[in-house]
Amino acid sequence: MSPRAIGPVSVTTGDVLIALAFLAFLGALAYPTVRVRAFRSLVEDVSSEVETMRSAAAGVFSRDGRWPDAGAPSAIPSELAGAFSGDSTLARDAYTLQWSRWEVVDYLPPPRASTPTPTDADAPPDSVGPRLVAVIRDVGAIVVHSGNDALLAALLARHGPAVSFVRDTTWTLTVEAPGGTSGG
Amino acid sequence: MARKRKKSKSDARPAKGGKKGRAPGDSEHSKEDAAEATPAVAKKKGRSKKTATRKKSSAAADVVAAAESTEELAALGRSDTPDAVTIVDLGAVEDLEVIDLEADQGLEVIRIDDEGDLEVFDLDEDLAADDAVAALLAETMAFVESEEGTAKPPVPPLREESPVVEAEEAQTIKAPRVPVGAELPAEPNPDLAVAMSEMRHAGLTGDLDDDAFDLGEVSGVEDRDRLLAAALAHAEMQEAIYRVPTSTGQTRRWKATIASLIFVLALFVAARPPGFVMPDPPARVSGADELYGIRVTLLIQSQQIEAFRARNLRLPNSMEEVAVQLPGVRLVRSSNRLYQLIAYTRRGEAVVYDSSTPGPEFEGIAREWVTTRGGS
Repeated sequence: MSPRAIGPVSVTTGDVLIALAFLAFLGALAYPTVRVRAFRSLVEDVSSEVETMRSAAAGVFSRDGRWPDAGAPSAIPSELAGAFSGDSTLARDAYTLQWSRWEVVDYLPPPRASTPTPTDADAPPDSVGPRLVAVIRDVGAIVVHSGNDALLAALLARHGPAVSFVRDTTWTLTVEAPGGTSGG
Repeated sequence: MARKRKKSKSDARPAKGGKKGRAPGDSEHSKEDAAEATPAVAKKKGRSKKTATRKKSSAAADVVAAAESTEELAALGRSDTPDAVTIVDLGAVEDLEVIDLEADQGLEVIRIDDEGDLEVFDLDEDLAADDAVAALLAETMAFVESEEGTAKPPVPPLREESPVVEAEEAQTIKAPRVPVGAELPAEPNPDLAVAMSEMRHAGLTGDLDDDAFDLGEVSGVEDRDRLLAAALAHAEMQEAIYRVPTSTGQTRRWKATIASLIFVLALFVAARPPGFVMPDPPARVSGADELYGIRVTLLIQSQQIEAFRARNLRLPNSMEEVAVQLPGVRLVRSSNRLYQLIAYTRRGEAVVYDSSTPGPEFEGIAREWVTTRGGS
């Protein structure tokens, strides 16, 4: 092999520094985009798990006529264990899921009954009317605990204020019962 | 150079006085052959332990020549008499003996080391090369001088079962002191210069034939010079290929400056990225979103208290009696039928839900909120 066929390969320290500096510059340019991509991926992951929990809870409601019992943060309710078969906890690196259940009271007028015909002056005053009847029903809720404000805001923007809200470090989504009602 | 380690002998013959003269030419060893022979370095197959056999010299080996210097020894080696030299008196060194050990009319240098073993240096083929002889002696004496001052252990008694060298017929000769690193006599050879030049050119161009030299056969001056030329040429080729040019000081400064500028630019871009690389800013929880969330929380908590009242026909005495307790909400009972729920924003502002008059903001939320819009 002739020596002329191979040229000298010389890389000095200055060349290495310039290459490193250029790589750092490219990294600085790419970092914001990389962060946004990672954040969007996180939002997608959370939404996917929320949807999984909601579907599982709706299935339990359709089957049993009631929502699953509420659980502690990161705990998987027994009725929803099938939907998270590969997990033992709902705690993730950036967030924690929780299934909750509330009660709602609806004050409804009593069933219409036969009203006595007033005779004369013995008619009761108008201020005395029939009492409203309190009807208690359950509603389900999925709570996401996270210290990432941007994540909570993204979830609020995705699902809307009519069914979700943000409070401190939690985002709560109210689960509607199949058929449009919230439960009973 | 051949080195043969032999078992020690306890009955080494003492050195005899030298007697100038020439041995009769009854040796089968031809001086021409010795002259043409390459040094023992090339001919001998490396070092090997050779079990010495009991030999007897066919002819009595007497001191036939004496040499008090390497030059005299070299002169003896160049003698035309084939078997002129069998034993050479090399001076007085107690642990160095030169005998004709193999009875081949050649010459061996024997040294007894500290363990009593014999080290034999075969000189029979080196006599034709004066510089080889000098080199051989120089190496031997260098080792001897390194042992100078150390106590020489006694030679162990000869064991009958061990093979020994029959030294009755051999004469021991003392070797002179040769300075370490004795210079070889140099005789310029014009043919050799041409050969070296060609070898060097072949090494530079990479056309050096691998068979051009055989390390196992190198024994002469020409071969060594050829090896040296090839090695130098190879080294020059390697240096030409892999030489790393050193950058000058000015170039180094420029490169350092450029690298620093790019680093600073990278830091600036990291701190304040330009608009074209900055994507849409992520969503944030606004103040309105926070206030809305607090009101919805108070509304939901009031539903839990109403459910408790509907079941128990009374208000709970404290929040702990309520099955569902939303975080950050405080219950204040103003009477047996009225209560307030209080929560605070991050700025410390209080938001109050009064059960007697909830307020229009709570009524609006109740109309839109999914859990309450179908209810009361």
